[in-house]
Amino acid sequence: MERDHTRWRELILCHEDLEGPARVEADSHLAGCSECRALLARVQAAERSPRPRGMLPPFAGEAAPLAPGLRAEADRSLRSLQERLGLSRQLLPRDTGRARPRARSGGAEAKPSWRRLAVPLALAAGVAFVALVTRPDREQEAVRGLRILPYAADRGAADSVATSPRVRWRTGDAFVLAFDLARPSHPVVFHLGPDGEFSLLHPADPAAPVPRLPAGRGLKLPSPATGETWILEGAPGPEAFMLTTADRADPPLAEILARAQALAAGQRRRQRLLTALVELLAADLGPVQTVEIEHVP
Amino acid sequence: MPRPAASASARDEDPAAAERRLVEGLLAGDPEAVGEFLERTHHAVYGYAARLGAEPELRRDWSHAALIGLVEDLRQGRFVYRGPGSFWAWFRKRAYFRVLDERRRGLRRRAREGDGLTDEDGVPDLDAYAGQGDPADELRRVEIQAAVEACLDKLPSADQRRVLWLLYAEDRSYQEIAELTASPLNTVRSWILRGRLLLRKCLIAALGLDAPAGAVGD
Repeated sequence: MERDHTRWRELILCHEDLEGPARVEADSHLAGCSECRALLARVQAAERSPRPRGMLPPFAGEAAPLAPGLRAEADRSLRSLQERLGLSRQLLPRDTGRARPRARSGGAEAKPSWRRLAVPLALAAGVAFVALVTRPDREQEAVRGLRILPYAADRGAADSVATSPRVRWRTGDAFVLAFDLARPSHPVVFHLGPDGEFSLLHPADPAAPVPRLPAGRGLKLPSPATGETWILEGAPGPEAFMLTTADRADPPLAEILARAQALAAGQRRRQRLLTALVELLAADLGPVQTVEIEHVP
Repeated sequence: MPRPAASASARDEDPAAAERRLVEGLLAGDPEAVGEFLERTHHAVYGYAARLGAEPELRRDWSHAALIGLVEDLRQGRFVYRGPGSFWAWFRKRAYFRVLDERRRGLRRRAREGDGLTDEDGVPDLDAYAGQGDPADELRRVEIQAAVEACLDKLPSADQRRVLWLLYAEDRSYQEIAELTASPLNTVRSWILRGRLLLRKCLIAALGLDAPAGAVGD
C-alpha cells in the first residue's frame, strides 16, 4: 500500500499536465484518496498563494528622504557596500568553487595546487560576483576586473583560458584568476573556503617574495606560460578569492594572514566576515577585488 | 561624509531614457550600471530596512543582501522591461520582498544561533508592512514566495526554470511561453511537466506540506 501511494504521489503532482489514460487514472485515485487530494490542494495553494502585497514608498530614482542620523548611517552602509563591490565591479552568475587544499588533513588549509591539467573540462554557465575595494585615499583603482576562468587544456596553452565565466564549478575543475593592473605591483591572492577557513594562495609561502607584474589588462595567475592552474576540490559551498596588491616584494604576509585567520575564526556570518577581511586587507596591503563562486558537487 | 553624486549621464538624460539605459547596463552586468544602481537605490532600501529593525548591523546586512539579490534577479532574467517606469515599479516591489526575505532569514539564523530573538523582536514599525492587514500574513506570503523561488533555482534545467518562471511569476499561458521561448508547444509541456514535479517535491519539503498542519492559506 505504501509503495502504491508513492507511485500515486508522483502522478498526482503532475496532475495538471497529464493527458489521456494517465489523467483518467490520476483522477480516479484522487476521487478515492483524501490524503492525496489534500496534499495536491496544499501544493496548489502554495503555488497560487498571493505574493507579498507591499512595496517600497514611491521612488523616483533620487535620494530617499532620511533623518540626519539615519542618513549618516546609510552613507556608511553604502560606502561599505561600494568598498566591497567597487566601481569596476563585474557581476556574473554566482558560482562556487574551492581551491585544492595542499593537505587534506582536517580541511584546515586550503592551498592552491599547481599542476598541469591533464584532461579537458566541461564548461557550464556560471555566476561569479566580483567586488573591488578601493581605499578612501586612493584616486585610481590599482586592480580591476577580477574574474575566475576555467582552464581547458584541450584547447592549447595559448587560448586555453575561456573568456566567459563558468556557471557551475565542480570538484576537479581547473581555473586561473584574471585581472587588470593599473600600475606595476605585487599581486597577492587569498582564499576563503565554505567553512570559513582563510588561506594564502599566491604566493604559496608567506615568506617568499611576491613576484612583480607589470601594468596591463587580462593578467593571469598562475601565469599561462607556466602551464600551472589551481584545482577546485573539497566540500561544495560558497568560496571567495580575494586579490590585492602590495607596493613591495616583501609585505608582512605571515602577520596579515595570522590576523585575518583570527578574524575568520571569530566571525561565523559570511557576509560580515567578507566585509571585515576586505577592510583588513585593504588597510594593510592595497585595494581588494573579490570574486565569489559556488561549488556544486 | 560626502555622498556620491549621480553620474552626469543620469542627471542630464530624460528619465525614461536613463531608466532604459540603466536596465540595459544591469542586464549586461556593466559595472558602471551597477554602481549607478546602488547609488540611486541604496538609501531607499536602507530606509525601509530601518523601519524593520533597530540594529545598524542588521539594517546594513539586510540592505546589502537585498541589493545584491536584486542585481542577481536581473541577471537571472526575473525582470522584463515593458516601458518607461516599469523598472522602478518592479524595483519597489522586488526590493520590498528582498528586504523582508533577508530579515526573515536573518532572524531564523539568529534563532538557530541562540540569540533568543523572535520575529517580533526589533520591529519598531508594523506599518512597514505596507499597511496590508496582519503583518503575519504578509510575512507568510514572503516565506512562500521565497520557497517557490528557491525551489525554482534548484531545478537542474535552465529551460525548466525559465518556463516555470513565466508560468508562475508572469502567469503566461503555455502558448505564450512557447512563443516567448521560441520552442515547440510540446517541448514546453514537457519542460513544465518535469520541472513542476521537481518543484512540487521541493516545495513539499521546504514548506512542510506533507503534514496537514503545513496547510497553506492566505
